[in-house]
Amino acid sequence: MARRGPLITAAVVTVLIVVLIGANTLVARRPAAPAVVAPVAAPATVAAAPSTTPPSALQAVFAGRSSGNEVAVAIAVDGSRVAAYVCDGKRIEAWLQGSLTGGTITLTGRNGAGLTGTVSGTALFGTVSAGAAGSWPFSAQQSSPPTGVYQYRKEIRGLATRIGWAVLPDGTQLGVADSGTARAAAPRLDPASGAFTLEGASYTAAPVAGTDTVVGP
Amino acid sequence: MTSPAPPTTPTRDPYAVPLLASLLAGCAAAAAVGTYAGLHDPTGIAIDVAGFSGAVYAKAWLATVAAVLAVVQMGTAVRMYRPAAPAWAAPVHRWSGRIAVVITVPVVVHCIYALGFQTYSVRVLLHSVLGCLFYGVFVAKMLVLSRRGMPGWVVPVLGGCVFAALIGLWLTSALWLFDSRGLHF
Repeated sequence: MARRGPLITAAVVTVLIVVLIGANTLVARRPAAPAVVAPVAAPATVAAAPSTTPPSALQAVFAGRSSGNEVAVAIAVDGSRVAAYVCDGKRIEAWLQGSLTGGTITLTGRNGAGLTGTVSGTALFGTVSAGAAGSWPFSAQQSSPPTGVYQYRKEIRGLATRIGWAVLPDGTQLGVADSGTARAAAPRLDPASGAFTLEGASYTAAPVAGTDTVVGP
Repeated sequence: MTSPAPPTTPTRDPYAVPLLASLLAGCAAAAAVGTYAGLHDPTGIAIDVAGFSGAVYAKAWLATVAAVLAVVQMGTAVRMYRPAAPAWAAPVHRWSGRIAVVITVPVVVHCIYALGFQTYSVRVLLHSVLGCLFYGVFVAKMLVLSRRGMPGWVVPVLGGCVFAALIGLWLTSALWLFDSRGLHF
């Protein structure tokens, strides 16, 4: 003798999950679906380039800018683990953490920040969001150090301080310093040694690897 | 030669096979959720529930409603096992449970479709594992409930696991979100 109620409940839940995943898949196939926050105006290459599968254990840094030069993006990849920093060098910044799966990078940060991108050869195209500050399509190029993400995170004069830098392939660096509740442009960083000077005192920043935790639990 | 047969012939518990089958089905369900979440390329985006500031907040509030209903589940379950169980306890338990688990569906689909099984921090790993566990135990409990003649401890144990998993899921997601990014819609 079987009671059918619980079976119906389980069946309904299973069907709902399958239907919703199916709906997601269908919507994702259509480029301009209204319900989806699609990466707006992502570079055409993203759609055109089939997912060229990168080497399974990719260890690389990517860096570049958003299409309107609003922000700089630097991304460190170690295998499947990815850490990134996005900033405008003045007010906007976000630390991002996530993974690389099958050529697709998916990162999240605090306050709605996030990044999705597709690795295509030595290039990376996608959309980066710094939360409420905005969301922009970007392109980044695989490069070698000193290109990359740098971070300093300690107390400076009793204030919890976190400074991030995105160093681009052309040597340009953009950074933002948070000290206590104040936010300002980061001081000039020497990427080779990590040295920088703030209010007369010397400090040392560290390069960030994809395996580093930049968005705390 | 051989020793005589044991004084009592071993009797097979009539519920053993259905119980084991239910638990294995639960394991399969948990594995299915985890495998899909692990293998599917996380898209980062998915169909969203309207009316919230973003997908994460929609998920956090849906999870909060489910967690509140889970507490209702606990309260009604305790009453159902009392000698003079109030007549409303069973229907309230059934329907709060049904609503709670249906509410979790958009949340889990967003999780496994857009984000995937992730391990990059203790919180995230715990959340991923608990998510698989929750649906596994849920399936096991539904299957056990559909059978009569199960021992009395089975349903409370499975129900307690479902409750613990859901509360753990809420703690590692919604509470973390409200704590780190503020309590709003």
